[in-house]
Amino acid sequence: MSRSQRARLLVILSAVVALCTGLILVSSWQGELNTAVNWHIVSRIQMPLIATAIVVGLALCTSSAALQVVLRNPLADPGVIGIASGASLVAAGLLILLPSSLMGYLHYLLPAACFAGALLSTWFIFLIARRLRGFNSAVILAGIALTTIAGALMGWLYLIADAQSMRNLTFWIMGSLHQADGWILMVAAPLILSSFVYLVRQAPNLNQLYAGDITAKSVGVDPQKLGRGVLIAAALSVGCAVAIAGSIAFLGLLIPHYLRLRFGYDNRFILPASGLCGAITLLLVALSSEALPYATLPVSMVTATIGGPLLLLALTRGQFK
Amino acid sequence: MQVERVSVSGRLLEVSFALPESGVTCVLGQNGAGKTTLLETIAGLLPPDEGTVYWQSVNLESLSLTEQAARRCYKTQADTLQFELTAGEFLSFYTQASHSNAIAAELEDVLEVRALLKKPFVRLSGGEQQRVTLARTLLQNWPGVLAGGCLIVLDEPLKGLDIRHQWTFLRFLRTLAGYGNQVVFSCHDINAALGCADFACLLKQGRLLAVGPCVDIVTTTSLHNVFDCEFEFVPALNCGIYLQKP
Repeated sequence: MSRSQRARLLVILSAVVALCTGLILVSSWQGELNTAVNWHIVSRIQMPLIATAIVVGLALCTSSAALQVVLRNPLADPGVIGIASGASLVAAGLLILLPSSLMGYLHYLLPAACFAGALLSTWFIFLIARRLRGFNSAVILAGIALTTIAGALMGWLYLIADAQSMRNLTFWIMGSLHQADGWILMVAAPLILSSFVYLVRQAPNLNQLYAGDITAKSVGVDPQKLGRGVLIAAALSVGCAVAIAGSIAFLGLLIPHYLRLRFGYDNRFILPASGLCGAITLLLVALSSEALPYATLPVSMVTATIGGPLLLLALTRGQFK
Repeated sequence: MQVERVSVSGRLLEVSFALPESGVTCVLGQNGAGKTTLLETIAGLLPPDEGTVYWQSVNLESLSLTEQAARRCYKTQADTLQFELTAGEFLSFYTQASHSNAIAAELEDVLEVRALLKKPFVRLSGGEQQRVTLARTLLQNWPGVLAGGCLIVLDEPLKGLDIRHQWTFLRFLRTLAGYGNQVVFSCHDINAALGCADFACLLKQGRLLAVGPCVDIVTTTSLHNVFDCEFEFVPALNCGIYLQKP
């Protein structure tokens, strides 16, 4: 794919992001209310919603696409390698174990705790991987172990949870675009955007990682340094994403996979395009929530309902045929 | 190139030798003798536990990865890909530094990869993958190779190649050496290797048994030492071949 082709496609995708944003804004504008109320809705509800959808989509899909190359495993996904599950576990623990006197601060504590959970689990995976030396499969295996442990602990937490926290928890685990408000976004968005920029800038080096560490080193790329950088950037942005929107299934697995089937494997295109397509998908989910006025759909429910069958379809058509 | 008392724990033991500026060298030895370790070490990809490697009297440790990459081509035993990229994409990713995706006519004559470019690399046969990998290795630094002064290290380049491609490729190695490059490769076909190489490096259990011009150091006795089986020299054509005695 030539440079101009890449640029053209990326411009088209950005235009689609802008179009979806416009659609959400237009659809929420209600003629019968006065302008001030409408502006209030736009600035307090719709803008955070749109910003959440865009940055979470960028974070999840770009970091998955980069992680898949670094770990040389098309199945790598923040959910699979334990970054997201660490964050969810901390969220669950907080929701259920926090004394009721502190419940008022929950709204502020939760994102910070999620972020800490994501970083903690990444650091933990990193330590285990270093101990086991072999970088790639070790990270995946350590991640799966961590996900299992987090799942088990969450199961135990369910046992002792009361009905209200259980409801909160379920909602958190299924993900939501409506939880974030201004100040959390103010912190998370710059972090996500800077790790996005970092990952996209590494794309030419990631291209040279396809054939293995030794080959990468022989053409002048330090595979260990690159792997470390990508892992940290991915943990940072996924931690932020989980903190503002809960854990969202499947997105990071599906979108890079589809883009590669259709457009090839050049990371200079795949990384930014995955991010933009992730943003578009979440904006569409938000738009469909607008269409159902009396219910907000848990995001994972939508992405997994559509994504699971699509993945099966892709598998039977695509690379494993 | 100069290698001084290089050791890698458990794999290489105090290996020292020197090779002239240009030429073809083959590394011979049993499985697990340390051929790949030696090749990775002299290519600068595996820092030795002890000892020093010099390229054109420059200590390898003083060169950055990028500086090294501009003076060296390295081929691993087999590139394994987990993704279904096409052979063409694969080549383009590793030549993106030299800003040209075109396959040099000279390489195409030898490796005949143009017909394979549209297919996914992992679906090619072993020999076809090997040809694409060899093209990748040389294209990564093609202007440097043409100018001479490059170190070209190939780990089992003949593995999987059919007899015609083996033969043309070995002849091509001589051409590359003629440009002023240093070619070092490992090989399990003694006769093919000796037909092409000026120098031989005999390895056994991490120790260097002998190094020098092929005609001087490769004999039935030295081969017996290296491979632990009997050989017979059969004069044929203008040189002769080594056959393993039954």
